[in-house]
Amino acid sequence: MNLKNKAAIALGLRWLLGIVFIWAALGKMVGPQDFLANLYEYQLPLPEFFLRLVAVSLPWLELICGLSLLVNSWPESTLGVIMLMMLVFIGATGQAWMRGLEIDCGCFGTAIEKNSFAGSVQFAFFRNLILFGLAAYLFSNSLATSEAKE
Amino acid sequence: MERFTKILPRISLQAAFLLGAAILMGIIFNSVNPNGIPLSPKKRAGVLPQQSSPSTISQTTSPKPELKNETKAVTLIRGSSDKEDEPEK
Repeated sequence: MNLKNKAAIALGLRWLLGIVFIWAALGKMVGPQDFLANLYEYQLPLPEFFLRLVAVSLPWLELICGLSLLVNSWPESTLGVIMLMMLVFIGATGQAWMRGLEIDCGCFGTAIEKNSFAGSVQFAFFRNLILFGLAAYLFSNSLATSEAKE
Repeated sequence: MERFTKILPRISLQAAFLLGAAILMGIIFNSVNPNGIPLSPKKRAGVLPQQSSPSTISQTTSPKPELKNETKAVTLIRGSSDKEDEPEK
């Protein structure tokens, strides 16, 4: 694969990841109370204040990361944050799946129909794994590109 | 790997900035939005207390209005059937 094709693929994947994150952020922003209710359903042993802070700030973090990916601003930092977020999501959905919690993942807020397979924690677990892999590929690609430029 | 360790401080700083901006924006947006989430579970100043739960409502209210409606409906049906039964003049 030549460099031009590789760059085009990386651009396409970066835009795809950016759009997915913007979609997820807007879905959560439409119904913040629903998203907080989704977080409670995970039954995580975390303080109330922390869960509320996550419900308040996570959609904005996703929106900023999505926009940053679209305009290619701070790509390494953004992809690093996305990879960390994905690891947390993988852990959260994985523990819910292992405990047999029949809940909606809440990843896309009101954008995905409730009680559908696309909103289940099982599907979300594998989707998060794929998104993590995508972010990791783009991160390594961005590092290699910036190294080649220097 | 060498490249990664070289840019790690810059990445950390930018990531902290992104996180800080997201928290700030989230707090501002949720304080302005009437459907937003307050950070503390206490009720907001100036917001009316929430309505009582459905179980409380069922205990405190009587089902009399529904009965009245049923009676009315029965009367109406009877009335209409009576009219139908009447021989045509």
